[in-house]
Amino acid sequence: MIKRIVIPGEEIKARVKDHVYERNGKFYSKVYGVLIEDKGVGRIVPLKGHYVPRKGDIVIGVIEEIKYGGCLVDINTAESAFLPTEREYEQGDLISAEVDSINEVKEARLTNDRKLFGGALVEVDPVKIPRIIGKNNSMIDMIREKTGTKIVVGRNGRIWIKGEETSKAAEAIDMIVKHTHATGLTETIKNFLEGESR
Amino acid sequence: MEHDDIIWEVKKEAIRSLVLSGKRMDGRDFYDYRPVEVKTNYVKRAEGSALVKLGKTQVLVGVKMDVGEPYQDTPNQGNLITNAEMVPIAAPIFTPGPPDENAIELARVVDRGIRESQMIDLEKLCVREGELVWNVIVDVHVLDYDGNLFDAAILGATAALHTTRIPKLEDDVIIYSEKKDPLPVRWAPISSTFVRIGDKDLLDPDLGEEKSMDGRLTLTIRDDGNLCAAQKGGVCAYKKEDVEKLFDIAVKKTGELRKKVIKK
Amino acid sequence: MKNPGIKLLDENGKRLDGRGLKELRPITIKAGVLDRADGSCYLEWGGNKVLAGVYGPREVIPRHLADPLKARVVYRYNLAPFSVDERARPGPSRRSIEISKVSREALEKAIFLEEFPKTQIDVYVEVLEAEAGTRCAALTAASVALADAGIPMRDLVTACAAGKIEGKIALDLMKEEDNYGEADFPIAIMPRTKEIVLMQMDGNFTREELTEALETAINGAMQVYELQKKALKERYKIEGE
Repeated sequence: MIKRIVIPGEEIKARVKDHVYERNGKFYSKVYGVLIEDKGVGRIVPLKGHYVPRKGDIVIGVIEEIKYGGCLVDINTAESAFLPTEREYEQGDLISAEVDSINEVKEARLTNDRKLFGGALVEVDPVKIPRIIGKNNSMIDMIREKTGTKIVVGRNGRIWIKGEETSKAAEAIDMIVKHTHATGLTETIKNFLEGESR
Repeated sequence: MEHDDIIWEVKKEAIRSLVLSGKRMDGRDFYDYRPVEVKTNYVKRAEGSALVKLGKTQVLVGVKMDVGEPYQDTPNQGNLITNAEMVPIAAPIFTPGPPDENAIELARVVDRGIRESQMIDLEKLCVREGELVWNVIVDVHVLDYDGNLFDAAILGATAALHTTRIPKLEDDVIIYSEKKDPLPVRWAPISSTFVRIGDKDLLDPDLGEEKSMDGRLTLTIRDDGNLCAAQKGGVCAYKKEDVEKLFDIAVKKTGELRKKVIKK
Repeated sequence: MKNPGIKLLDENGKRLDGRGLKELRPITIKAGVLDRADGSCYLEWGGNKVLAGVYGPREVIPRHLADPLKARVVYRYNLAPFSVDERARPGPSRRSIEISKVSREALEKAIFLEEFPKTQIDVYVEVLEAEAGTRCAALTAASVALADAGIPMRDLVTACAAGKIEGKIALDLMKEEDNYGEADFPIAIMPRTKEIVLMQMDGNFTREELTEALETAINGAMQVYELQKKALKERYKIEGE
């Protein structure tokens, strides 16, 4: 496996699906990211990014405005999302919800909303979310288990944490963000979480 | 979005596809100017003036002169000041108020063409070194906007400056009613503006072509065939060879135009 | 501006700062230098110091300026008042408005604007110290900051100027050469195709000089591109290579 940094306009010889564009049969990176390549097949992970809603994403939102038949919700995108609901929310309420659909100008509609009471909100670059979740939820489950906290991870870069060891869980997440592309990250985080205190 | 813009969105597609098939709406060749008319001494009170009609585009350029202190770094030279205004009369999209970035770009491109061609012998406009020099103020007034203000304005400025007469100066007081010597001019810079639509370049775009363009290139050329100013605008890209080709066309086309409209 | 008092080239063909005709001033580029901005870049180019910061894509303000089909780019080139000999009046001048316009248009060619409809991307460049060639330094830094902000682009945008001093085409004019030289020719390219996305010129070029100036400026930009690339590649340490 090869890992290297690529920049916009750089030719990508490996077969890559996302974050590339094609010109005259050749492919070039659109973004500043890490190319992870194995036997001619690869993927590009942007180093920084903006949340682009996709159907099925779990997101964490803030109620912005109460409208007729629903609410406008800030989900960390330029355009607010719409949540059709009968529930009585108040401006500033924190919720988790699922992206139900996206229209042609990339506005999202939400469903399956749940109000989040108390707890703490951590914001990270949305491109870091997959690493925080880990393969088959391995990373996030480990943090949940070792700190005894309740955690909701939003694909939009927002993470809600509740429990006694909230700050330790937040610190672990911060470590993942800072060392996203390091090898042996899981081990490092495990050691940190198992250490008594720093 | 302005109402005007919505209509253009519809027209744009027709213009673009025609251009890409090698033709223009008004039947002109890609490298032809529209019919040009230049009337000098149009405003008698100005020291120099020219009304330029380039197709349906109309630009009036007036030159006024006054005296003042020279800049510290050029104590023995007169000053050139260029201003452009897109007055609301010229198009529904122009609104009153301070000049926007388009008006500023226009003024600065005209200014660079005139200044860098060294058309005006500014040293001859020194009255007393370090104390008193002539200021030459070129005002571009856009009256009717049917595209390509750059070429119309530069042509107007050159024509106006070529017919400018310096007013009498008596005891440092200007007597505007008595115009004396002609302004010392050496060159007649003229520009060629090409808009790029797809891979096609069109000289002297009208408004529709300008609205449909990806970008444009303005090249200001002196009588000796040298380039004295260039400006790329809009969202397009040129290969080195494109620039060289357009330069050659500009030299030829500005030469023809100069012969026709600038009287020496 | 003529100044027969200053000789821009010595008898060995060296310039005032000892450079050859086709040599760049020293350049250093660092990506990711600001905490709050989504992307940033600090760049020193000869005596120029510029700082670029990018915010967005974010909500368009005022809202009616939003384009339903693509992102709107705002580019602000700003000279700090103390960056030049004679204090620059704060706020946009006619010069800075024009530079901002042509620089924005150059970047718009490179950015995938259609991926972010109804949003705005703000590109702010502060010129902290100016010594000729600020628009090229600013645009070069801005494109690194855009990449750093994760904005999808066809390519970086790299700027560099050629000019004419004592009748010869020279790369990257310094202050005295800009003041007393015979032409200044700033361009910006997308390095992959070497296509020109910004071009301005004032002075006097023959046909042959134009060709030489184009070649000189493009070659210069390709050298600057290597430094942009290096700055971005060095910003993050990747383990497991």
